[in-house]
Amino acid sequence: MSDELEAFVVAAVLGASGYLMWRRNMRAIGLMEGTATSRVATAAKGYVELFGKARTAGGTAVRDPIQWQDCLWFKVVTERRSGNKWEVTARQSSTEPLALEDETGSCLIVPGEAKIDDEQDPDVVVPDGSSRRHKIWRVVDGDPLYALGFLERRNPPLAGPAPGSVAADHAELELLRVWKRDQPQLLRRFDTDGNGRIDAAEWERARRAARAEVATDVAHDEAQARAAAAAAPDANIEYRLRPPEDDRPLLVSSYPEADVLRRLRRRSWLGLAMFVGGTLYVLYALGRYLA
Amino acid sequence: MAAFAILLLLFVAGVYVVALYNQLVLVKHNVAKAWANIDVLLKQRNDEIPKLIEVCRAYSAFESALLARLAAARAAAAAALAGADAGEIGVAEARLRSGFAQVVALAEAYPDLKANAQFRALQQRISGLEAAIADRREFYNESVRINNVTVERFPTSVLAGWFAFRPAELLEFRDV
Repeated sequence: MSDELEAFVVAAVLGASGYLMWRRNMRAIGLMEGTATSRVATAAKGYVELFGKARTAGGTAVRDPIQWQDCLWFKVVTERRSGNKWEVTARQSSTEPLALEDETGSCLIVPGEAKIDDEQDPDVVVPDGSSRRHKIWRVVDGDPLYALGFLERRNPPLAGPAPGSVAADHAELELLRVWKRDQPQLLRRFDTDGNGRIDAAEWERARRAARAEVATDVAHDEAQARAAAAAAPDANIEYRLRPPEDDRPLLVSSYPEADVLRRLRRRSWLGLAMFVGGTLYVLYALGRYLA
Repeated sequence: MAAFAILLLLFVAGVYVVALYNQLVLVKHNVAKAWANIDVLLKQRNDEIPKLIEVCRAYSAFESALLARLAAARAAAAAALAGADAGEIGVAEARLRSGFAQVVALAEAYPDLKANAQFRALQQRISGLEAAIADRREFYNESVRINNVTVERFPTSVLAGWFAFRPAELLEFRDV
């Protein structure tokens, strides 16, 4: 590839990624600035902004794998020096849920769903010899926690179809199909007049038995699901913050809102500069090529 | 090249204007959503007041003038709510709250009424609703503040003027 073509491709990629970066950060800034802060327990369910303290959700203890410090969440990025540059060689982060607590209540945040401190500098950089280093981001108990996301009430999941629903009918038919495969057993159970076949009244009784059996199974599964939910370490946390179903972000940061905004603005300007610079070069190169 | 640069500048300006417009739409809808959240609680509370008045009326010695004032304040609050005028609602709400507080205070002098399970349940329900209203009012006013700052701040103020985005009124419970 010639140098000119390479520069053209680099400028095009730079321009496109700059545009996306500019728009994404502008959007996040707009959402943060345009949404009033709610309290967990009294917030209307939906896309909300919350501010409180980071607390444990009651699960297993978390420690970062480099300095072994107790925390609620960590992210470690390991880099290796390659000439003048640092190259990322490994990334790891904790997956244990944490809680945001304010004076009214707590809500659960699942790290896999949220980008925590995504726009911030690492809390500490640990050198590892002369050519390796570990960047560590941590959220510890009591840290201020800012969050913007979709708040919903947590309910134990239903384990099976509701009685009378299409899904329950389907389960009933499936059970009848299983019974029909074992004709001797079916006749033993439902051929009450002993004529060697299942007539209409007997078939109706079989259907009722299948419906009852499905209902019993559903009730049993639901009881188990509820018991499991009640026994979960985070069972006392009534709310959960999750990513919205549209393209709005779930932002979580252990920095105050003003810090997050400052960082987003900086990235927005950087994206704009990349977009303008890259596009100008692309246009310049195209102009030269066409001339 | 200069023409391309100008086109690019126009494109960037266009994207920026669209983002500003979308911000105005967002804050306006946030105010509407915050209002809907408080409106439903005010209606629920207004529905409970007549039940409280009926329970108090059963005690013939209970001051009927006070109950009449509470009923009038409730009617005024319901009318103001129907008009969705934050200023009028604020005044009517202040009177209604004052009337409710007087009824609860006076009930202290009537041990039978105070011990009445229905009265106690209604008092708790209304007090709970009042606490929720206070909380939602704070959120509504914060949404209004954000809306008003956005509408009045340059450069969104220019777009707000063109597309008739208006500042919203704070909801303040005040006597006049």
